[in-house]
Amino acid sequence: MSFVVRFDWGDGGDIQSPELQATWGELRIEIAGQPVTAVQAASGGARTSVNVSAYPLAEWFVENWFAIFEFQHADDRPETPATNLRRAGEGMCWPDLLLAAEGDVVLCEWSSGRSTWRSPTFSWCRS
Amino acid sequence: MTDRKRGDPMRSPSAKHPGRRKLHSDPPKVSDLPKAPAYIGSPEHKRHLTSEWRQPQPRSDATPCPILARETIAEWLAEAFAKGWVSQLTEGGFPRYAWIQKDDAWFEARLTNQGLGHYKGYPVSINDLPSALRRQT
Repeated sequence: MSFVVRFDWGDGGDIQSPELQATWGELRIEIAGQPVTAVQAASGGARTSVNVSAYPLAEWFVENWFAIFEFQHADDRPETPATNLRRAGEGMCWPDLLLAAEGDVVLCEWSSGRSTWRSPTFSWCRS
Repeated sequence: MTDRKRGDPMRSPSAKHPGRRKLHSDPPKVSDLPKAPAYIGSPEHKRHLTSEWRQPQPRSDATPCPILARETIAEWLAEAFAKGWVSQLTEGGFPRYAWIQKDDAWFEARLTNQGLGHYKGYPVSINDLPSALRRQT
């Protein structure tokens, strides 16, 4: 199964944090060919990428890299564990994508819905 | 199933990353900071025109700020520091994050200029809070 993270650098405009401004762009994550980052924007348009900063995404991977590969029983996981991409935070629009070790494989589970208040709605519902 | 904790090259290091959203164990007083923290905001969280940001970031998917007076948000930031609800992670002597609860909503302030102590803010879910703060709710 493929796990593809594609990031196209964009213009950070007037964003105040230099690290967020310098790493602004369009994020597209595909798992087995399915775009996990597909959203229905508030304007009504649909797209397969979200506009975020790569900086918190990189921090999230660094913080959670080992946790992703450490088995934790599903019953022991909090509602939104640290290995859920939503925890990348920074007030940005991240998909509800959980990465969790299940023996020798990593479970990828994602769902539709909103990341944050009034953010675009993630439109895939598949796990 | 494989036990990844024995002799596995993917074994996690003993020194864990402190985490971005850990509540400060000994929060600094505002008078101890290089400058007084100030709310400035940032256009990616704006869907409305403000005196500071005449051009909101139109392509941003970031969480929009509620429409509030800048003075109100500045008071919230000061309150967060007074309560000590700031992150252990600091940059330039300033906590990178601060948190405040208003009614049922939580907001996170994020350092945007570590030389001047400028912050922006946005609403967050309870899951985004440090665990020590979640336990208080």
